Amino acid sequence: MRGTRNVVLTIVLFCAGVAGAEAIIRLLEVPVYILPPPSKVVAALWRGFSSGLYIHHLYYTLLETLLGFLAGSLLGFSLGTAVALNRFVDYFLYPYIVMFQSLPKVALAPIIVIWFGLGISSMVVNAALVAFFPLLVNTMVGLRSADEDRVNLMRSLAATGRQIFWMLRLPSALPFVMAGLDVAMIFALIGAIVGEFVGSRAGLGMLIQSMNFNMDVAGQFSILIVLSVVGLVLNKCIAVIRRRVLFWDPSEKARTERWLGDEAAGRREIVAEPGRTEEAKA
Amino acid sequence: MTAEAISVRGLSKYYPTRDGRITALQDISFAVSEGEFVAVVGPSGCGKSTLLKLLAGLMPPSSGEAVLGGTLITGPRRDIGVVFQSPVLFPWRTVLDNVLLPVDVQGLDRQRHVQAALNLLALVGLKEFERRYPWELSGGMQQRVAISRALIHGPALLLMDEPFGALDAMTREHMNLELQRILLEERKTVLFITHSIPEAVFLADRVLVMSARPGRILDDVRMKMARPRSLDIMSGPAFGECVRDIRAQFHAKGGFDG
Repeated sequence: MRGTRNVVLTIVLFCAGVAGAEAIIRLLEVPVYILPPPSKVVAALWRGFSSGLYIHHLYYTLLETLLGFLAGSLLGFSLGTAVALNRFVDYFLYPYIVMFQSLPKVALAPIIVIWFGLGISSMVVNAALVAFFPLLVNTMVGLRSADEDRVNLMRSLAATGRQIFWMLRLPSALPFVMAGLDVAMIFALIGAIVGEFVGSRAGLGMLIQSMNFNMDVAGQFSILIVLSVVGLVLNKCIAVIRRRVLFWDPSEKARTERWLGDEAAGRREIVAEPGRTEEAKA
Repeated sequence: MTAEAISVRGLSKYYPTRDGRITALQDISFAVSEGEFVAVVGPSGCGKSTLLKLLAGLMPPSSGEAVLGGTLITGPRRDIGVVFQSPVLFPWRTVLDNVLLPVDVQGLDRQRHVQAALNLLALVGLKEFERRYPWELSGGMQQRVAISRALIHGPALLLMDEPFGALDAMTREHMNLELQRILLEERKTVLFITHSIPEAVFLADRVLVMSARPGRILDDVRMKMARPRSLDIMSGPAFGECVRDIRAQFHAKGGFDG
């Protein structure tokens, strides 16, 4: 019951907020090119989607983001593994990695456009560059995080280095890798959008740019809404994967319980301790 | 006297530090017969764990040698089962898969060992827990899984490094009883490291008493109480005397630093 009431209350508060904004903006006669009322933003959103314009650009932005995310995280994971496992790679390569990491990667976007042109490859490279580092660092830390006792256990069983990697280090690194993927996904979206700002033929970033030249602020707001929904959905996808992969991780269990809310957490406790049910009945 | 399972001769271990070297173990010699339960008791920092790591082949000795089943210990080997102070289970593996870890690592036939693992889990009192995950079990239950895992590949020697040290006193007593019961079924040579004198006296056929750093063997006491021993013997006079004798060794020979 409390759940339904909260949902209703949330909807009411949201509607009140939007209506209030609409009223204030209209009453104060704020120019549309400064701050458009919510109704204009919704209209722009409707126009954009019904004409197919947003779908076309959304397709490119999504494609760039996902390809960049895949390429960047694959590369980051591989190099992170190499650094964690090989002392020479660590010693000779890591200083450059640190240097490169302190650089804001989006500052490279103009050069990337020169190198790769206005097609999607530019945006993919941009997205991959920013998605790369969270994976690299987290994979490195994760692979080195394996519990000393567990390593000793494996060694006492006469396990080979390869076995210790596959059976112990890699699974131990997964919480870190998943956290890296979480960040990399959003970073890839940022990379793609910045790339489109700098120079591209399609994509939501490029659309924001061109709307900005035309003083179409309502349109820009409508794309911001699209982008935040895209970010949310991408994040949620990673969360679903993470929950499946890391069902055993204590922090993941805590997160799931918080997401399900108090009621589910309470139920779990009762299942875990049969004694509690008696108390609850009494 | 039956055949010697372990024979340790003049074993020493030094650790280099910034201001000279620390002697963790100094000239340790002892032998353990096949099927014998030997407890090593000593204050913390006496090199008990170093001794266990040397025997497990996890590090090389500075001097001396240890022979297990007729061959020199030069590195980790497959005929040893180790139980550590913490259960050291892999949370992504089910209880059954945790028990089967040595089977996977040593490339043994998994199919054939599944039944053996289930039998072991039944033996340690974890029947029908095989599909659970370690984090669904209590500390005592997790340590039972660790014991099953140490036994699955049929090792000749079981090394136990304060296996019940992290458990509460009640659970610990219970686990002592359980371990005795398990070992009556699965005859093994056991080297059991602990800092609890009563635990050592209760479980062992022989107790090796060690001094504080540098770790040396102060005494080798044979326990004559019949098996199976019940917890009641812990309040009997013979038991009390054994515990008192060993404790007196520490005080007389400066076993404690503080």
